Amino acid sequence: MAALTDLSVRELRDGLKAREFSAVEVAQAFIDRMDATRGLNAYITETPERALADAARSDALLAKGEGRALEGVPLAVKDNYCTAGVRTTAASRILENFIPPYESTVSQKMWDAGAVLLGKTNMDEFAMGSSTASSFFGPTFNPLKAKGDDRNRAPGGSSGGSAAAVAARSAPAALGSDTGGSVRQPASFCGVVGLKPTYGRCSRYGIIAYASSLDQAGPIARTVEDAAILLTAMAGGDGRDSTSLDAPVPGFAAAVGRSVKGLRIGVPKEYRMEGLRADVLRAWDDGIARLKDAGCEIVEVSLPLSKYALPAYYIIAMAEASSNLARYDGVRFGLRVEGKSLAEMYENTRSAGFGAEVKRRILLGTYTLSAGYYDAYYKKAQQVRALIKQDFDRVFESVDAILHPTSPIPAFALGDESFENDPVAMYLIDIFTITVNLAGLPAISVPSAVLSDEGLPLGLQLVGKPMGEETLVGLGGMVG
Amino acid sequence: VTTKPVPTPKPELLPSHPMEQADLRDIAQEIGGVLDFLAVVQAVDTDGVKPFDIADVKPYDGAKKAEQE
Repeated sequence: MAALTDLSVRELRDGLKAREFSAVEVAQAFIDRMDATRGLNAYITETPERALADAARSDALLAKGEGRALEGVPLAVKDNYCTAGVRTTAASRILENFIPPYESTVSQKMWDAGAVLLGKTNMDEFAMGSSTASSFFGPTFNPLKAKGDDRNRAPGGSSGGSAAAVAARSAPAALGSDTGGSVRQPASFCGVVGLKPTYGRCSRYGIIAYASSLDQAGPIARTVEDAAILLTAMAGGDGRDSTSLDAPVPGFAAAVGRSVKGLRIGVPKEYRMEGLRADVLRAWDDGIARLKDAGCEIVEVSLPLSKYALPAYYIIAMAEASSNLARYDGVRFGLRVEGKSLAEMYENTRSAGFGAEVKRRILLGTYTLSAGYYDAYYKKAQQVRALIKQDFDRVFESVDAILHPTSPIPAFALGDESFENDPVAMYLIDIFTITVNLAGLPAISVPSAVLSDEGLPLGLQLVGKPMGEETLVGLGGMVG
Repeated sequence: VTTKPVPTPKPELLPSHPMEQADLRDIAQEIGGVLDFLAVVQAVDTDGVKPFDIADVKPYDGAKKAEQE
């Protein structure tokens, strides 16, 4: 039999139900693997005692034939989900010792389904980044390396710890969050699957807010089926999040392997931009060919406003961040650095508590919201966002999904100064993912069968209509 | 149930921040050229376009539900 850490979520769930192995054995196998891969820095907080205690409870329920949907299946959780009694830092010094008194809705749903918490994963500070290098707790390393190059690679971000843990087999699946590609881009960099649901599909209650009109929970797993199983457990309306959708939650995994014959797939012509790497184009063409073979019709579509999506996205995200992060003032919770006055205490606390990228985004967000600049930046960006949404509405009148690369590049080497010293270069990595968040659409990143020239994974992204996750799950199984 | 009004903070506890808008612009412009990158949106013709509202995302029903309640 394969090692327990090599089994998928479905295989673990089915094996536990059939009593082929115990939940405690599974939890111990992953705890050992976390120990062996600790050098990756995928976890900020490990919870082995809780994992073993939860697993023992799962074994008792399984023995009585009362196992729930994810009974005994271990899970890693991004460290921006509030977990009652378990430290939750958002990878920031300002929350270094924060222990939430309450649980996020999505993580609570996982425990209600019987999942077992392995630990909280590393991320970019407050989810602001595409490399997980902005974490106060140090960078996470991608478990994969390029051919003939021993340099550590970025796992992507901001859910880089979750993606690295899944790729390194120190978790069979993980929860991430996606504001501008933070589930899909790390999934692409680490060769795993990342699913960003429709805005509102999952509750945001208890997920530490970065940009509230863009944030959405999403699963990271090794197979499309596993991501679909997790999404079924995560989704659903929530009275504590007025933007969550009170819509029926289907068993998404049932769509895996379903015929996709006759579906129309859009390929946006503007995304075949000059300078796009040849290996990324090869991966894209391979995905198109596979969908054609499965009976899909491929049509060229146009998303002309996409070239303005990046600045529009960053204006909106930074503006919302500057507002959301105003609560970290040293008064009610988190870090407090004293000063001679209240204002000085605020300044000292926020100066010491936030990292450089977070400060940059707060400053720029405050600027774009300030009187005199609001119309030129924030209002303009919201108008561009409306136009981008209209672009997608028009395209989805004639296609069922859109296919394009997840990222213009594979995982870059940590320490690469062209990214680390240039924030704009780092923002440009998000070029293929942010439009999806601006329009509130679902999307899935699946590893291509084609590797990069360096032998690294490349992700292909399928974008769907609102609430079109089942279509994406069906197509995702065919494309990679 | 108390009807006692909540005391408002004394003004001296909340001094206005010394940073003026011009200072904010200088700081923003110093930040790695990011402001120039963000200003690209200004090239888009948005005359008469209603700014995006999250309630416009179909099938978002939160605003409608809140209204009903």
